[in-house]
Amino acid sequence: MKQLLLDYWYLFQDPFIASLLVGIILPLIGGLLLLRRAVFLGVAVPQFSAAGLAIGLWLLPWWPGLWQEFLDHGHPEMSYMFAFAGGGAVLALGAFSWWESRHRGGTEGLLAAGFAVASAMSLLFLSMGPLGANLVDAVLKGEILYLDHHGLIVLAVVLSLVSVILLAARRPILLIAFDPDLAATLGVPRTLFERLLWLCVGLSVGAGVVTVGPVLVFGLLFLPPLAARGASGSMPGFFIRCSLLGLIAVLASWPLCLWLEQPYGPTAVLLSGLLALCFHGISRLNIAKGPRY
Amino acid sequence: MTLLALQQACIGYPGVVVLDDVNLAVEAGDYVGLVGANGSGKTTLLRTLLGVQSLLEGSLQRGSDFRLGYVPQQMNLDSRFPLSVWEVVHMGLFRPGNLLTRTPPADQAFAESCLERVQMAHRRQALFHSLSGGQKQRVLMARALAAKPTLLLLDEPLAGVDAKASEIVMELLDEVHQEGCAVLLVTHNPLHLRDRATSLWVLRHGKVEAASLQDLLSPEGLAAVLQ
Ligand SMILES: Nc1ncnc2c1ncn2[C@@H]1O[C@H](COP(=O)(O)OP(=O)(O)OP(=O)(O)O)[C@@H](O)[C@H]1O
Ligand SMILES: [Mg+2]
Repeated sequence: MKQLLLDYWYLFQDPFIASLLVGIILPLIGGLLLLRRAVFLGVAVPQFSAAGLAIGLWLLPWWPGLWQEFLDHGHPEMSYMFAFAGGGAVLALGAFSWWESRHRGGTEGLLAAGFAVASAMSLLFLSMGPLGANLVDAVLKGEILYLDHHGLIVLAVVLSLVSVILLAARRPILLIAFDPDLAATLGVPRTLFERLLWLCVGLSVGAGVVTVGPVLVFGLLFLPPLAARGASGSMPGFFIRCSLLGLIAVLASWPLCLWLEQPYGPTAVLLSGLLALCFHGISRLNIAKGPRY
Repeated sequence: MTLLALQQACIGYPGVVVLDDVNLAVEAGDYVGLVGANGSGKTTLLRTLLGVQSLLEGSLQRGSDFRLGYVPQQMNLDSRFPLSVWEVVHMGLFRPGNLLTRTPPADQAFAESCLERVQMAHRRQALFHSLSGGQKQRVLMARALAAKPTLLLLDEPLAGVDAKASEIVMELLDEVHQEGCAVLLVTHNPLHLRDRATSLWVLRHGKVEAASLQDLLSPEGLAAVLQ
């Protein structure tokens, strides 16, 4: 038994650490988006990130050095993929927030349209691209088991940077989301913090998409925060619950996915959905039992 | 001393003029009442005075060294935020300078005293959105006071608030005014302004007009305003 665990650890140590990182940090970012009423954005942006990645893979043969690297190692340079995935996400966020600042409302329709176009683009460019079907499959499904040390480093650097920035700027960001008029009255530079938020979201979604895949990014962004919201009586309480739910889901998914021999990403998303449902139900029961305050 | 002044201002949204040819000023020590029908532009005027919304035309002058306090119309606040009462009051302490640092203990203590002043200190851990309308209003007052304003703008603080809670809010406003803070109060009930307001503005047909309380309190006057 001990030997088996050690073997697994040796094999899957990088993907395992990566799953912990996304499990803890993505729900925090999703929580911010949920409060900011930007859930649709959170759904569309990973898809744009995947489209950016697909375009990057399609363009790969144009860079002889990188192409050789791909032929040697069997997968493209991680920072190259991240540049395209992050670029796709940041560009999409920039375009949407520009639209939002120009037109009040109507963003939902645009996001839905964007989602459709981005999904089609990612499929099309991947199929036009030179890479083997296996790798394409792995990228889209989020086969975290293929993640190597290089990928883990990109993910860890981006997510730590983003968490530090968001932790430092959480108060102005939340104030702008809750009461933009008060924020403006107190002289909080709104555009600056909004752009900072979009940049952080774009980078972390991009890093998540190239390492653990769009499916897991979607799921972890929103399932934990949706469950946590109804049960929280303060902001720190809400964010702690978000992370905790995400962490439990990614941990419990490991034995499950190895036992079922199914891809990790979808397993973890289904599990966090189930967990969210249970948590929601339990907190409902608690509320029904009596006042909490 | 003039705190805020609008000159030949045209107020509204891109492509939508809400109020035209607005000339008005708020002086230190003023207690201004602002009345008008739904959709006449009260919130739009307040947001313009706050500097949140830009003018379509004309100019907004601000006096030096004055601080704004703002109590928003409650229904404009997002109810999905799991904010505690204390977290809401704490928002009033933000300064652009110390956004990224800890709030000084003296400011925290002052915010605490504001919460006590509106008689809501015992609910500081409660979820803001679990409070009643009147309680929320008092918490929002505490938040505005925590910023130590010299001009307090309130957008219908008495909407959906029962008579007793209205009295608490109005008495608190009187105190704040006596301490030297100018007040601009949006209300649907001119009776609240009796014996208080030093001037009265009526929003009607896209204009801001000065009026006297006598005019307003007569049935015809009221009907004319709220038509
Ligand atoms: N974002 C916006 N874009 C365009 N027009 C707007 C916008 N917000 C409000 N309006 C319009 O401006 C006018 C004034 O609205 P405002 O909210 O200032 O009215 P109000 O006097 O505060 O009404 P209430 O008593 O209901 O609070 C309304 O006709 C409204 O339709
Ligand atoms: Mg209004």
